[in-house]
Amino acid sequence: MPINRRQFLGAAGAAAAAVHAACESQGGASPTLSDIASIRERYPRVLRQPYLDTAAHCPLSTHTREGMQKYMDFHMYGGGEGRGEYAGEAMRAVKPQFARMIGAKPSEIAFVQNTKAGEDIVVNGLDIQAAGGNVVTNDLHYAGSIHSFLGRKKAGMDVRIIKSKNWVTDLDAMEAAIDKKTRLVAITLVSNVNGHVEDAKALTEMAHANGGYVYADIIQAAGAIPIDVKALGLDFAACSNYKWLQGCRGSGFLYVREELQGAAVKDLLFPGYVRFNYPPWVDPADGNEDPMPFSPPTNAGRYQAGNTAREGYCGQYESFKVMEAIGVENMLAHTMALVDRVRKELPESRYRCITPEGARSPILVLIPADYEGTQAKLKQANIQATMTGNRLRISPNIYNNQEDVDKLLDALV
Amino acid sequence: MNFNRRSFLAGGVAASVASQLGCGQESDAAPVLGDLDSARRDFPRSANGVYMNHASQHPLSAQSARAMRQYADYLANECSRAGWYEVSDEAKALGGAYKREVKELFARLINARPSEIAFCLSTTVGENMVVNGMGIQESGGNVVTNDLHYSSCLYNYKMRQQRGLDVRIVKHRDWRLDPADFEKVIDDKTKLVALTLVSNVNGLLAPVKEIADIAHRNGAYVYADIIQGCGAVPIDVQAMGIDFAACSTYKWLMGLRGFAYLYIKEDLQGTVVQPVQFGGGVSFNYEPWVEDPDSGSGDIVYRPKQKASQYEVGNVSSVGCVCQQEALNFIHRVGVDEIQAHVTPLTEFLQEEMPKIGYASITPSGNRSPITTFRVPDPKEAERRLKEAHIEVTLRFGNQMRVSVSVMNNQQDVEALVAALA
Repeated sequence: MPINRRQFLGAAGAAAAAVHAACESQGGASPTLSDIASIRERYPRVLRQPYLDTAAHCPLSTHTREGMQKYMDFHMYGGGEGRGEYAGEAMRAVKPQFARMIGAKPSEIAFVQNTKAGEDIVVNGLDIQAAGGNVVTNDLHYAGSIHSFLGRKKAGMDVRIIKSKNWVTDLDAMEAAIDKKTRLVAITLVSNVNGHVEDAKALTEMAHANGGYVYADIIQAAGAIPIDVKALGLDFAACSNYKWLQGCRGSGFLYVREELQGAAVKDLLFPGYVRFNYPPWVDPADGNEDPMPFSPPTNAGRYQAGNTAREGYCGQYESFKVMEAIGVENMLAHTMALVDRVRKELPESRYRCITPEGARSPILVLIPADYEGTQAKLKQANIQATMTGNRLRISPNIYNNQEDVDKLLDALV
Repeated sequence: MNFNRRSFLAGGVAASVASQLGCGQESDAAPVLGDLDSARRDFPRSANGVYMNHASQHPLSAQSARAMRQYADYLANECSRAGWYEVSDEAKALGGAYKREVKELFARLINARPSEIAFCLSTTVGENMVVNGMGIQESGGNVVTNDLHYSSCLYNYKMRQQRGLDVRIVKHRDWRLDPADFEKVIDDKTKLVALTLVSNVNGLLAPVKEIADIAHRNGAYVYADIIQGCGAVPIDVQAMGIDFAACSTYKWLMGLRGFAYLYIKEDLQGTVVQPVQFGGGVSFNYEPWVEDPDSGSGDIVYRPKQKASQYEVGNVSSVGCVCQQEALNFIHRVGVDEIQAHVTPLTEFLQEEMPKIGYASITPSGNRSPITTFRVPDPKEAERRLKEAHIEVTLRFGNQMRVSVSVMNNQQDVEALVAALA
């Protein structure tokens, strides 16, 4: 198939213009990114080789790096020269930033260590097994999550794992498996296996019609594709920061729909404090108060226990600023142009695509006829992508460009 | 350890890291403790006023900060030197090796085995992993704790009490814990005794062994919050009878928030404490996942993690882990006994001198922890004077002043405090 170069450049050019416009409109305080090329400059690693592996992890940008550094300097030197103020500003800003990105309220967001920790907070809090409920999931849900559900199944939980059909979720089979006892449908919004985009809206409708809830692993989606949890009907979602959110391992976010907090989902980690109202703690005690008064957090903070990796969130604060200036829709326009071109250019006979046609995600997965030969070609061309199982996964981001794709195509075709 | 992160990271800067540890000595030699100017130089915070608030947060050493800077550089550029497969292997080696080393260093610090250590987010998460995993309420059991257990943990048990758990809170007597008071409330239905080894309130080193003996006689287990102890006072979980323990790393372990340890005694793993999170992965053994399914396995092959790792899920803060590699090596090089020997004269001085200027101590005398707490006669005035003298301690609960000293403090610092308040 011929390269539709004009079409490709058109899409990339539109994204660049949008970036330019977005940055201009932000005024002086925002990052000045006049075009895609200048974004690349912020990611030292991608300047060294075609890096097409964001689905594995995103190389740190200079701006994210700087946010982390500012926090570490604060921790080393203490306050002064604005260090303490910066850390406070960043920690206050990141939840609203993430909330805006997924269409949630800041009060619906908790800090979590990682995606799986977030999912476990939801699953444990729903008390599924005690209520005699079941969980419906599918084999395009993240393998680590499937592992957790199998662990729970061994402990007696009713877990139903639906097999995908030709690398696409079998919605009919999902619907057949969901019943009145289904407490949770657990899915991955964008599959790390093949970039499949789950029809979340259809699944939330099925689950809600049966009184169940839907959790989505959004680690391959947040920062990669536009997400609106309200429009999709999602009840819970979680992600780590180190992939498309362009942050670090060990920090992430959990979304829990407001009405379900503390009701459907019990908090089992208990962040909070008591006060002591008796001698010798206080003398005399306040007669109007309990001896040990306490008040639980009223928002999603109730699911977040103890201190989190603040340097990670300070870095994340900077990542969000840049992503917000560009806009996730513009980022996706840019990355889709790149993956679409790879999909069109690579001969299907030698690289069988298992990413569903029309999937709007920046992850493209192919099964090469000659796996080892493909591995050798990538090595020779010094191209970074994921090869695992029998699959080749290409996942470009905003820092990739047409030249990277040229190099990939030159190497493989 | 046979893997050395420094050999892997940018060579140019790394060489100087180790050599600075001993202040000009060989990196393997312990700093000379007596000459505390050397330890002070390791912590740039000490050039920025008198910092005696380590119980809130221990400043990072210059070495830890440098290691993290190098690690962040590595994340931004270094692993691009090779192709994807080499990067992948190298990164795996790096990940596996430094994490193994960190677990081993921590295990050694508390006399546990590395297989008894799980990484987690925070002390609170660690304690909850134990309490949730024990199924205490379902079995009709009770929990015994005390009012010098960390306030946030008490919140945890008060909330569980509200939801029906039998919780018994022993009150301290004159800021000490009397094992006899525990004897009165621990019974054969007690599943867990939860305490804080070194109190964040007054630094009390709890009589954990005596309490643990009572607990074990009744078939209960002991959880210790060791965040204010670990790295500052010698801990031997076996000798102390501690079955479970947890701590984050940003206090006496000189690390970062968001990176913590959970200790679970080996024979209690998966039996007494069921995992409430499941570490591990699966592989799919059917078409189209694999072309030739292995007929000997099921459709989905379950691959659980072993030992304490079964309580871990997902990625931990790798920056926090790199920081711990540096910090724990520092602590081992100096030695916890030496750290305690260094701070004891400083706390003794405060215990002696502060009451003389009207600051009565609520820390028992002879208590060997780095934390001492005093009643402040005039909190507003004290705050003003501390600010003027650039001294940072904790002022809270209306009239309490908590002073917490570490390797980077010296006699001048404690004298400065007394002089400022006198």
